[in-house]
Amino acid sequence: MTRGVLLAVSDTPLAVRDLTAGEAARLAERRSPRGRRLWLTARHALRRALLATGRPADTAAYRFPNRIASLSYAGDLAVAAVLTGDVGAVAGVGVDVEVGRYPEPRTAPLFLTGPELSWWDGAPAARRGAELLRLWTVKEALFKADPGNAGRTLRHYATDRPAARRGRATRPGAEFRYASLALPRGALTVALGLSPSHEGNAMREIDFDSVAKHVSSLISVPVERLGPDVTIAEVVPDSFTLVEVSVDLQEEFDVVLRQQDLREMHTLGDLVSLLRTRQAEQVAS
Amino acid sequence: MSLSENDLWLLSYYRSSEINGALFFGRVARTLRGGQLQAEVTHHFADEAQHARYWTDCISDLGYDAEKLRGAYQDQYLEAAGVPANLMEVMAITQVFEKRVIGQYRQHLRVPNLHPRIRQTIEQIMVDERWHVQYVREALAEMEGRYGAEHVAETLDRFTRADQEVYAKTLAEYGERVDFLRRADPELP
Repeated sequence: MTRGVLLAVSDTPLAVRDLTAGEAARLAERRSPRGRRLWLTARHALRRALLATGRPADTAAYRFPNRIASLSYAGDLAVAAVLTGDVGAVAGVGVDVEVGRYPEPRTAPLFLTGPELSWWDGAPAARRGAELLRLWTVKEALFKADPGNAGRTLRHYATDRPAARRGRATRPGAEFRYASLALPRGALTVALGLSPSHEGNAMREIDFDSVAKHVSSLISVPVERLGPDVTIAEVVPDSFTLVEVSVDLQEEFDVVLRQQDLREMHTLGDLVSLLRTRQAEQVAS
Repeated sequence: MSLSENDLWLLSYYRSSEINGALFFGRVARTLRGGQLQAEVTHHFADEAQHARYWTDCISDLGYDAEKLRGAYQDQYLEAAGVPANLMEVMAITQVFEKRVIGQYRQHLRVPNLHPRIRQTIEQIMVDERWHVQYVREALAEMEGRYGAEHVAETLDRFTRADQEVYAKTLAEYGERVDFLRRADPELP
């Protein structure tokens, strides 16, 4: 359930003597001195992030786009983002950093949706340059975090609240989370694309059979003995087991129950009704 | 060293409470989806089991066998605080409980002429306990998005009040057994 992104920054190239054989071969593909310097600086940031997350640090194993890592450059600065925690729930990660020039205001309609453009038009004049730069990094990060970005443009990605520095964004058929940081005359955004299994989990249908099957595996009582009228007290022997069953079902169906709920339910049928009700409320909100 | 009956009972009670902690966190660890929290709770589960071992070894090194106790501090906890209804509440009750454990062990360290083997065991356990408090605090902060910051704060308050009640009851119930702790800390109720 818990997931995160570790960011590492570098403005110095990785020393050539420290490269692995694979990295040296990749470096040899680059001819221009500036290209080589940028590549080494980015690999420096990436290696730091990989080491900090306990992953193998040979960066030659990572090609981009990549589901668990993303890179971005601004001038001589490189930023690497590497996923930590619940990688299974994430379809992709994207990072974008921009420092220095603000985008030309006339380019705003090229990457902002209608509602985003309306909000940006109404922003205070003194903030508009910085906000446009921030939104640019949001869109770039979203694009990078989307494994299905082929053929898409930045306008396909819509933030729920353009003013928010962290929040939710979507494109048809995909959902994302993002967070932005303000830098001195710049911005940095990290975005996560959520995997379809995560989205599906939130909407997973709750029926008696699936709940009973799950409860049966937790309390070692045959599923045939678990009917809607069976009381919870009959089959759940103690408080610890009740905690386990309750938390397990909530994790499984992505629903939140409260203490009052536990007090009010008496039978397995009540439990299933409650899970359904709470799921419906969560979807509605 | 000769342990008094009360000393042996208290060290055995610590052992029993650590075993109950391990059993509880083992169950919680089983319910979690993959990810950082799953790794941390599994680590926590292993720590609690290890602490039970430390107490068993400590008691053994002092020339005794741990008393076979069924009861533990956690037993009264769920009764007073209510069953944690979700993962956030599990983490909240853990936060309150771990702080209590640290407080209790710290108090025990203040007992005059504490045997070095007991001191060593407590200090060894305290290192892990501090990490427990830290990771649970971070997990709760992350959960504010899903459960609401206000609800998280209310839950912590509720469990803190329950903890105070349980602790006072425990002291009353086992008064003479823990009297030496009371003498070490006159502020105890």
